Amino acid sequence: MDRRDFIKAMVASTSATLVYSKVPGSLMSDDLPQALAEASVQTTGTVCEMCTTRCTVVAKVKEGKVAKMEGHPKDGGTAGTMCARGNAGVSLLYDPDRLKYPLIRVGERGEGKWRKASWDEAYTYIAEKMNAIKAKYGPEAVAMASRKGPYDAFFHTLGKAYGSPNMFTHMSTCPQSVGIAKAVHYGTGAVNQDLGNTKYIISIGRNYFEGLNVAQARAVRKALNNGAKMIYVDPRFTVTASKATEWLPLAPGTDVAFVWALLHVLIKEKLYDADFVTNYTTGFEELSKEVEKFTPEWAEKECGIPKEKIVQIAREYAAAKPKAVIEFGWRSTFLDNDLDLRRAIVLANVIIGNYEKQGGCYGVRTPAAVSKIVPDCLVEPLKGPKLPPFPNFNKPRIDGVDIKDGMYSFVPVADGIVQQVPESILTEKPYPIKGFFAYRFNPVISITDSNRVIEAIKKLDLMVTIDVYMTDSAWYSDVVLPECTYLERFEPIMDASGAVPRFNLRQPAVPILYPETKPYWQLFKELGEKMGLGAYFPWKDINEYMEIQLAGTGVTLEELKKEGFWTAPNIKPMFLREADPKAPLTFPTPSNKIELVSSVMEKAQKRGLPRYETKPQPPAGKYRFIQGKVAVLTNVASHNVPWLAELIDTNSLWIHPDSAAKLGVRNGDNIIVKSPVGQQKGKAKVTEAIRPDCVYAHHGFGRVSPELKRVYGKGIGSNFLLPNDTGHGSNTINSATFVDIQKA
Amino acid sequence: MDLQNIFGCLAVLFREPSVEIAERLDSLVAVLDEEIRLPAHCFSELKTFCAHTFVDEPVSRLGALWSEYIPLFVSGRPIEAAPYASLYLSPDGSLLGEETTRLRKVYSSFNYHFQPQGSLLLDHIAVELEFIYHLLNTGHFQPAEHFYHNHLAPFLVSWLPRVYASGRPFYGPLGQIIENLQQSLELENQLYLLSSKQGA
Repeated sequence: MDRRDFIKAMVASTSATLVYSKVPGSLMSDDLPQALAEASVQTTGTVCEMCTTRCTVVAKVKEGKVAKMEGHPKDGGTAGTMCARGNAGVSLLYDPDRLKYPLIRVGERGEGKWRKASWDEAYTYIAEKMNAIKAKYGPEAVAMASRKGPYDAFFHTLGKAYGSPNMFTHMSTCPQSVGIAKAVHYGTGAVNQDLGNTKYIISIGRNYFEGLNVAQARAVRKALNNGAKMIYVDPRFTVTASKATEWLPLAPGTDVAFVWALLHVLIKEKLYDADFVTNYTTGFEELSKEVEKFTPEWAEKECGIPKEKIVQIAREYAAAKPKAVIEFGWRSTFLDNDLDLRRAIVLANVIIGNYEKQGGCYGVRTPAAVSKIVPDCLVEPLKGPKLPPFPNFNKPRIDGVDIKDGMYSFVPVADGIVQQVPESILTEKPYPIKGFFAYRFNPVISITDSNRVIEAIKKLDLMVTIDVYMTDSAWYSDVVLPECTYLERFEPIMDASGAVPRFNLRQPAVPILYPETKPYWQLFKELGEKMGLGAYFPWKDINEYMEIQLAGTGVTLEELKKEGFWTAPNIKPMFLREADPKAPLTFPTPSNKIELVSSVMEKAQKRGLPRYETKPQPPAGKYRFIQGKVAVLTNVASHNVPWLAELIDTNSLWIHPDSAAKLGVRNGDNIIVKSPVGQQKGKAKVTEAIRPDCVYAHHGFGRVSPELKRVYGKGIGSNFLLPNDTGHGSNTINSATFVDIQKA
Repeated sequence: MDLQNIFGCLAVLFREPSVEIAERLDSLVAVLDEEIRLPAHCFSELKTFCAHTFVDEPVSRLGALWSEYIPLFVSGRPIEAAPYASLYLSPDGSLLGEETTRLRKVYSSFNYHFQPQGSLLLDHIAVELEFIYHLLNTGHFQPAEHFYHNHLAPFLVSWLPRVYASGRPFYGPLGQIIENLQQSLELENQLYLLSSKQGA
């Protein structure tokens, strides 16, 4: 063979990427979409994934490339608007730093040495390790955790089919207390608030304009524009505080006293809705008795708000009823009593009778819920495929949420208490965890005491991460599997019902960019098949799965594809007590009424009513460390996305000028923050927008994966400072740690 | 100097490593050495790499190639030398930017269509090198010269310094060799000669 033939053979045989078509000007079939795209701008309606709100959006594709993302113009909630994160989805899709194929670790954990693996090789590696763990420790020794979302259907199916009860979502590190509080009183977490039409909002730390849900922020803005009052409680002067009628900078933990005192005034002055309480609730007498001690005078001593102000707010709130709400909250991880706070908030909503009233609260209108209200409604709920029964679990879960009437028996089994995973790995209690899967979840940064989480991961026999980036958890993994982005894949149809029944469809705007990345539905199906669990994935592909979901709903896939969402055309937002204040309503509680004294909580923790316990405040020389959101970032997920990192790639420590003066710290100084579990370096931001006894940093910085190049090593990592403790409501605790500050 | 062999050889060498490339690495380096005719020391590091990495079977060499290829071109902290032309030549410096669109049209005008694989996008260095190889192989010398001037050479100017600055044992010296070749204007001269003949 001469030299030219040798090179020719090598070019041809080593995966040539350019294919010649003999017919001049002809196009291969897989180029057709490309050619069409080049002709004009194509618009695809889909669902954003830059945060868990999952707004409907449109992707504008020009010359085969997503040129721009916009809010969906036909979605009334967002009305064509979009946040910075949604806009930046384009830069995530085209980030050259994305994961491109499976990687298997070859060096030490955290050393960053990998080898490329084929998917089959990676699946085989995982399956063999999982089988070895099962043989030695039992299937319960593998835990799996994801961000909560539509993918859980497959991810958790895989784990349960394998035989492990230990499936988790991120919920206990975020909004779990809110959902539980609603569930133990209303009987369901599916209760929303009609913020756009309300006249009075009390928000305790729900930072609408920075912890951004676009539709919700627009609704609050509409209410404020229409003259609504907003009382905002937060130790920090946020953007939301700047829009509020009044900002009350309470010390964390004392907000429960404030709400109890509101309840006291509402009941003592008979400002509640007596008819509603009589017709729809149980336990009012017990509640009335309990609130007697929580006088405004008492609350003033606890939380520092003058008693007159408390009485004034309670009266204004009641006067605006039923168009008045106390915001349930979102990220509910303040102190160990977070669930008490959320439950007190629920009670203060319930007794003013704002349920099923415009401007108040309402039950989410899923197809199932609507079919009970509107008998001739044609909408049926989404279905799932018929699966074989899952194996019986050998042992209860490590967090005990599946133990009947146990102390955490009110926690949804599908979500669990994820911060228990590192504890069980390290202590082997209640039994060892030897394998851990993280899907779209980054335990190293999301779970408190990050160093301890890293220590735990290092002890595992198998750590698998599935993501689009080499996250901090991926960095310490044995196998890293690359997912394609949300702009490149179909997903199971989501029931996104709110005021009306609604289905959302995430669909690809462009073909998969890196051909060795995969959508999660394919990944979990293939891994399941490799593990001999193919029977639990009895559908050919995502199209077949979506058809199964839609069977009998009266909605077709083609209809859904047109806009990327579907709402029932014959159903308008409705409030069931608007026309008839005594409309028959039942609630899925043991008593079928709203239980002001929760029988579920009474059984679990002898806590039928929420409690108040005085919480310690920082001693002299120490500061309470708190954290929060910034509008252009999503918790820990989006910091490395190119366009967002251009906007903000680090944080600083907010500190009050009086405190800074005592410490000799000036604006911009390098500082060290020390807590009982760790220390972080950063820069001081001296500002009056924070209480003197608190310091604050945006969450999600201090990243330890060098491959998150835009944010690696920058800023203060809040979870490196916080111990891994769990509140009585199952929540992570983010605002109970006192720190020392010193100039670096 | 046989330009076809040089571009073909480079196209293969900048593809994602495979067993076949690992097995034939000595031969590919030898072809380059003989075609380019740079001073002997220019190739000494590549030859040393070849000698040290083939232990019993190509797997060890394949691993060595991947251990360089991934941080350099695929998934680094940051990627040391991202191999996509659009990042350097598109006005907004984005992936799949205007340069990618231009390239797709150029490929298409010669009836070539890109099939994605692994980390290779259509403006990946290996794909551009493969394209110019195909042009030369089919006698399209003027288009090859045009493509080199307008697309490949400006890309290489920005990209090569990152490759050899990485100090990686194989791809580093390979980048340096191409840089030397570019600076000597040899590639340009040879393409010009071919192109002129065709024009005449």
